[in-house]
Amino acid sequence: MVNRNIVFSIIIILIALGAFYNVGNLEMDSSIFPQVTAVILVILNLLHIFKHIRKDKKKALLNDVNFSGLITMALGIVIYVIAIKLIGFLVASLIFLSLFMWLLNENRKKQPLKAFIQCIFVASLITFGFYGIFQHLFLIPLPQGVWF
Amino acid sequence: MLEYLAGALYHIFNLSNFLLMTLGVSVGIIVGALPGLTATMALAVLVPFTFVMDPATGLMTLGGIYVGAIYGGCISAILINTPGTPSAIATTFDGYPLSQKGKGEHALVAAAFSSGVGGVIGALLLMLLAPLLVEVALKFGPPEYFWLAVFGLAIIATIAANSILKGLIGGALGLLVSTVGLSPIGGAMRFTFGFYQLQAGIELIVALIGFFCIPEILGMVEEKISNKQKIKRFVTKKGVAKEVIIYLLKKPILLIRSAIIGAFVGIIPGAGGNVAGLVSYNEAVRWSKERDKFGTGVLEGVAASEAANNSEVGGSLVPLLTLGIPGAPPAAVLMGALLLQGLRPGPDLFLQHGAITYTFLLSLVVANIVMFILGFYGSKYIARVINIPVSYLAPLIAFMTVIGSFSIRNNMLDVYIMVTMGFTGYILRKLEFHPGPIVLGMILGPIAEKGFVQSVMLVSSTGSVAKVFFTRPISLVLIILSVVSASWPFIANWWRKKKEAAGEVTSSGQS
Repeated sequence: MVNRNIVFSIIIILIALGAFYNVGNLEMDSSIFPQVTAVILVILNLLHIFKHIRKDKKKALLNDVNFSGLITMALGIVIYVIAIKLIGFLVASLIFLSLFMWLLNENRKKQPLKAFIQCIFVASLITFGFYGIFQHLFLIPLPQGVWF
Repeated sequence: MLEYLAGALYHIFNLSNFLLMTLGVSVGIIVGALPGLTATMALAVLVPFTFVMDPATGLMTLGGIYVGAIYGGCISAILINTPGTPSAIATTFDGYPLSQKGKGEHALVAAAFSSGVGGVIGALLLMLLAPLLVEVALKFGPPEYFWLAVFGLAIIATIAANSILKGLIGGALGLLVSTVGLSPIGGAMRFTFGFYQLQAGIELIVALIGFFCIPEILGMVEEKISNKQKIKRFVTKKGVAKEVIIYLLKKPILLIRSAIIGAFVGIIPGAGGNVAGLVSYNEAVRWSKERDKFGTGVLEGVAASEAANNSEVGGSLVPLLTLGIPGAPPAAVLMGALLLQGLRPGPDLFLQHGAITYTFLLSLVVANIVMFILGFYGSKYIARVINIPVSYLAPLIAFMTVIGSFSIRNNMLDVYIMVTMGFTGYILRKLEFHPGPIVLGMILGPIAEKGFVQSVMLVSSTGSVAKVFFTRPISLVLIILSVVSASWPFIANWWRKKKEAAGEVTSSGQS
């Protein structure tokens, strides 16, 4: 298995080099600080790589974790955020909250109907509650979707 | 200072302000009591609610949340042996044994009382020390600001991370992120990739919401935390509260010592409430005549930890308000809130916005008293919220991060940045990078850059690098402090080995 610390440092070095060249054509007073920082990052990460080549215990990035739960949650957040643009804040939040409250609920296998109703109820309360506060009290318009 | 106090009192006891602050304290206590939800997170998701308020009211409310959340952590520490916030780690040592002995109420009263006393002392120290530090800060020129930023990064890299190298990489990464947007001196556009929204840079609060909340949500799902351990209802006995308070009042040195330790640990960037609690607990054991009883359920243990972690709140605001360096992660969020309100931390806060600043400072004293009253009468009711299942909490927090990061600038790009920062933060935590140095890098970036570029310009006009960078007296002090803090881990390591040989245990951690 490739060492995760080394992979990380290589990515950071690439980002730092990219940043160094990206500001290269700017005036000195705008470019000097990011360039110095980028050089420092490269040096530190080379040291980091060196340190991990010398001695390292190979460890998996995600040991002993509920991997499927983690991925579901992460994907859920990404899809939720993208969906806001399409179906609007209200509908997307309602779906996201009720779905995840249900998925994470421990009772959903024992008492599926009760768990389902509970989740929908709590999700609606939260969504409409916050929507009302932001839209009408704080006067912050929450995003409308393209479709709705 | 005195000229502002009358106005400050008037603001604080204005009915709506006072109610909002009390609401802040209550929400803080509830969030703090929930295991897995930290004070930083409470502040980050709740900032958007306060920035529609006027600056003084918003800051009072946030101060209340901060104070409440740090206190709230003790409730679950005492009742289920799980610190609600990392600050309450040391509270579990004696708090949980006390509740196992059926003395949960004793522990909760002791925690509320000592938190209140510690918090008030911390807030008073803040009011005393901040104006003194402002006098020093007024003498700062560009090179001093540059070295100040270096010192801040050196100290946090060494304190907050397990590996100095990782701490430094984190700090430098934060610095690089801070350069997104218009450059402070040259005014050129950097790393905006055509997004006009990025011209003003990455909004600090947006980054903080992502950084401190998303990894917690993923962590909750990952560990499948299930609160199987339900809180038992306990019956309060008459006379216990009075007995405990009289007992603690007879130990003024314990309370004052713990509070002073807490405040000074708070001032050091990177060392948060958990370090404050642990150091103070260790000292309480060291000074006690009955050392063996600690850990078996003594009120002194609870009081030492709680007085220190609440006093740390005031301490962590000293460097924040005077120099723009947060003393602890929750203070970093307050920095973001100040900036959103158009208030830049530093001497100006005291000289130009004195009315707002002193209202905020004095409100912390009042918030601690409110916290004591709420904790004293309400902790048995608040204890029931610990039973809220993760299945509701995790999606709710995700929802709040989205609504919060959007509402700051009414901007969906901020939401995407928040999520990206959050996932990056999660991976970095898995690689054992501490969020502290990265966040501090982002905060200190603009200070460091401005100081550095202006100093370089001074060099080209005076022709001497040494004169600008190294020989000015305050700079010299800051350089020495940076060197000392960078070599601190080696000194601490040597010290620990010596202590371990002597059979004592020392601890350190994160906030």
